[in-house]
Amino acid sequence: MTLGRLISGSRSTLLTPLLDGNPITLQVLGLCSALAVTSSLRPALVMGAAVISVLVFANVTVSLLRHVMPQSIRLIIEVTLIASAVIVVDEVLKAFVPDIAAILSVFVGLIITNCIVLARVESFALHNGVWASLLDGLGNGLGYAWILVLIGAVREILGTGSLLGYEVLPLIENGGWFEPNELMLLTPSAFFLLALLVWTIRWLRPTQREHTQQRHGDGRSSGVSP
Amino acid sequence: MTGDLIGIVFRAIFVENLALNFLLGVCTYVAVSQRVTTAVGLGIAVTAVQTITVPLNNLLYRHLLAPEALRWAGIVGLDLTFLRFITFIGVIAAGVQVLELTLDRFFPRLQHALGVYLPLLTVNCAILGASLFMVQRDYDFSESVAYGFGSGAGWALAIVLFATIRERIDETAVPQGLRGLGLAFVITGILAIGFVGLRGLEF
Amino acid sequence: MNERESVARTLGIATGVAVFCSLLVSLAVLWLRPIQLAYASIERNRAIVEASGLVAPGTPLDEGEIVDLFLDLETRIVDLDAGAFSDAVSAATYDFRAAINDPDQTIPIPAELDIANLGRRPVHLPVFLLRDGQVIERIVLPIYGQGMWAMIHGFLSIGADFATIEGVTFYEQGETPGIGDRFLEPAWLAQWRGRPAYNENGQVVLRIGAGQASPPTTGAIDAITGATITTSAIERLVRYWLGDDGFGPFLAAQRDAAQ
Repeated sequence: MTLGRLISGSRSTLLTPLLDGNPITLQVLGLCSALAVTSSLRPALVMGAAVISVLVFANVTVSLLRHVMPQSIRLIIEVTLIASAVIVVDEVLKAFVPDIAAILSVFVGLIITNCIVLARVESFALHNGVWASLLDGLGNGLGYAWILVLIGAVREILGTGSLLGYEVLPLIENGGWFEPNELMLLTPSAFFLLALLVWTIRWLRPTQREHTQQRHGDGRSSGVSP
Repeated sequence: MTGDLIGIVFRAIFVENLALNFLLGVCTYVAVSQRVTTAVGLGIAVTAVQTITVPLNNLLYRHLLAPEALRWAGIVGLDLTFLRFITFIGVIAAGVQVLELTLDRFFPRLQHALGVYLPLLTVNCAILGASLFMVQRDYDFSESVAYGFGSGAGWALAIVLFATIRERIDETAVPQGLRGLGLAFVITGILAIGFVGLRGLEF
Repeated sequence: MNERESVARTLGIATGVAVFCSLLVSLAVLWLRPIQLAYASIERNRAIVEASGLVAPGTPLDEGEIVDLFLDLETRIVDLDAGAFSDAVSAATYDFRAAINDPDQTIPIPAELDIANLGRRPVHLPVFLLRDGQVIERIVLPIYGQGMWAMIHGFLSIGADFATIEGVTFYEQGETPGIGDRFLEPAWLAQWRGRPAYNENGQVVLRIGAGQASPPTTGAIDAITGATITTSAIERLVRYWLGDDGFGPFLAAQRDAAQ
């Protein structure tokens, strides 16, 4: 493979999941932890970093093992590796940013069940080399993280007028003009913002459409989402 | 005591609904719930798995992992709480396997209808989430049974509500970019707001 | 059978992954646990320092400042059963949080007295004294009890007369975010200042009830709307620790001695 092709291949592995193949908005993955932690920016940033770390670790380790992994225990090995990474990340957060860790509480543990991780491991890391898997993990992690950060930032600004604790929009009670929108502090607002985001992305990229389960009487699916 | 248990069940279904308040298990149902019958089946399966796994995880946590839990074996000074993730996932995987075998034996049509989503229950955030909340809230065994059942039932309620709405909405006129995924988010958001009104209700 | 699927291979890979993950997790926890414990004890000491009145609640303090201020307080051990100071346990090394979970250091609470739902309580608890010369100006007591979702831990600050509440802080809780945890708001906590804990007969008069905020001379604190279970839990845990099975006898003895 020429160097040029190698570089462009790597670049697309890294960049595709940011918009065109975004795990949340296209692949419908990883919603769970996405929405509940985005009421302000800081937890969203920490959560994004946590997911990127777990995703990269899982992708790299599974890719390293892909030639020797027996089929019979494949899934349990993947889950074990992911769970171990999550345990380490959880303990690191509790040690270095304990106040954020308290906010994230059970949602860090839920990264284990975060569909993105298992989906990328199964569909990419099992069939690709270590470097590509690393990039794929990084790309999908970033694709997930920027959505979280965007929603977290919007909710914090519109909900409290501040960002990362610093007042950005002058509140009425401080002599300004901004009346905080308390709906933004409630979890359903994350859904609405996500809907707007998906709409915007699909307006920009009209070819995007997720694979949905067709309605067959007995649950047979055609074109199932990953 | 029974009053407390019923209170736990009600709170789990209405006030702290796993799907609509904590947004857990949402992946599955946004991608799946387009037929009410499938949704009902999935809801029952999740409730069953949770009623089994939450109390089981409670026993394991209290007698193996919690600080000083291994006293009965003579081992002191040990705090193994950090192993809860991997233990719970193991129990859930086993629980789902047992459920699959049971369905295969006694309710094969339901098993066929759920298809690939049955084994995927192992990585359903709501099921793991319920066990993690049980630890955070320090429930005892009977409370865990109540909570396992209640949280599963609450999730089932949410997904069935959602599927019912979705079946109808697919026939209306919706902007192209919002169709499908975007609309699913909006519906869930509105449902969630409805449940927010129940927040703070203490039984 | 496929070479990859052989039993030996499967066992080998399974064992290898298990060993690798165990090492990874164990090393991480070994490295991080001391840092986490240090943070927990710093937060606890911050709550003690705030309760003692040495700094106003909410004052930003760094680790060094917290340690310095904490060392300005005198730590003594109280034997709850004897109702007096005790030197049976070393004040410098006694870990009361560990004692709470230790069946050897706790005794069961009779069901009719157990309004805070604790089951057992330690025999010895540390108290933190702010002295002015020889006189005790403030005494800070550790209090805890079962909240709606998890244990609530805090410190109650009693004044020089051993009968008036000067303040309360909470440093650990798991109540409903946005509703139950509103008891952490400074405005609500400020209501506690100056409230009598006991009447002339030594009975606990502190209450948390619905209604308008009552004058500061009575023992009644305003409840939080929508957080009935949480505020009721706090009332019960404070009344327990002020009561006969908690610090009640100790405080009564101190009041008598001061006369």
